[in-house]
Amino acid sequence: MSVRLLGITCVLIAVLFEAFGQLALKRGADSALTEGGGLAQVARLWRHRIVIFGIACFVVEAVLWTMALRLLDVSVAYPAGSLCFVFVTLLAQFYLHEQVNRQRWIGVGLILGGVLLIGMS
Amino acid sequence: MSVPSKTPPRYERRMVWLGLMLAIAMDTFVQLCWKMAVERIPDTIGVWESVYHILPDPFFQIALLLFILQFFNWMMVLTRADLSYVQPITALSYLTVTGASIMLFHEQVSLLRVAGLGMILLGVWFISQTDHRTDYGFQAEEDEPVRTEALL
Repeated sequence: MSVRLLGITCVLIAVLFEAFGQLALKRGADSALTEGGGLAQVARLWRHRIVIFGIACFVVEAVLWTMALRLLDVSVAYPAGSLCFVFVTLLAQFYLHEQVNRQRWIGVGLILGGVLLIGMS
Repeated sequence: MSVPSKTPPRYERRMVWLGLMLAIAMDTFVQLCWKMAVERIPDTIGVWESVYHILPDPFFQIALLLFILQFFNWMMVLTRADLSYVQPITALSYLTVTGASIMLFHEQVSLLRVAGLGMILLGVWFISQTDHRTDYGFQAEEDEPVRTEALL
């Protein structure tokens, strides 16, 4: 496997961990906190397995991302990493059943294009 | 699932945006502190030595503290808004990090980069025009009964 392919694989797995981490935190926020929170509730967050799972996802993601940045140029890693906006939106739409309308998808598309341009610059 | 709030939507939206601004500001500082800390590590040393070098670095410690604060702030934001609304909006940190890099490290910014940042801004604007929260109707309250005594 070439270095580039290995790097891109790292980024894609990292992105998946990020997306599932975000999903877990959203689930955790909805079940563990009432609207607006409150410090007592926040202090008990670590008791919720889904929150711990979310944090663990981010730790794995950080390790993978660090590896990817050693293997890849930023111009490749950044645009590939921006795919997390797509994964998060997809998971939110199909798993959390959020109303993701066309306007939100246009927004995500523009952000993706923007990150691609930044990567090329 | 949280109980539908009786506070006006405009207030809710403001609180969401306040949380988002905080998240983006902290994200920017974390990234800058991280950069400062990592740049002070000599290139030649291995992974464990790098860890040994970075732990006492104040920039690393600030980054870590901000990281923890960021987690709690983000959890608060998530209670109030859709994940597919708030998460893409954090892409604004590309703008703030670039701005800070110009000011602090005097980095040069190409036209292509400015175009990219403009596209991100436009994308965020599109998302910001949608409702910040999905209306799930009445199906949401399974695990949290409404406390009627609080209303009396």
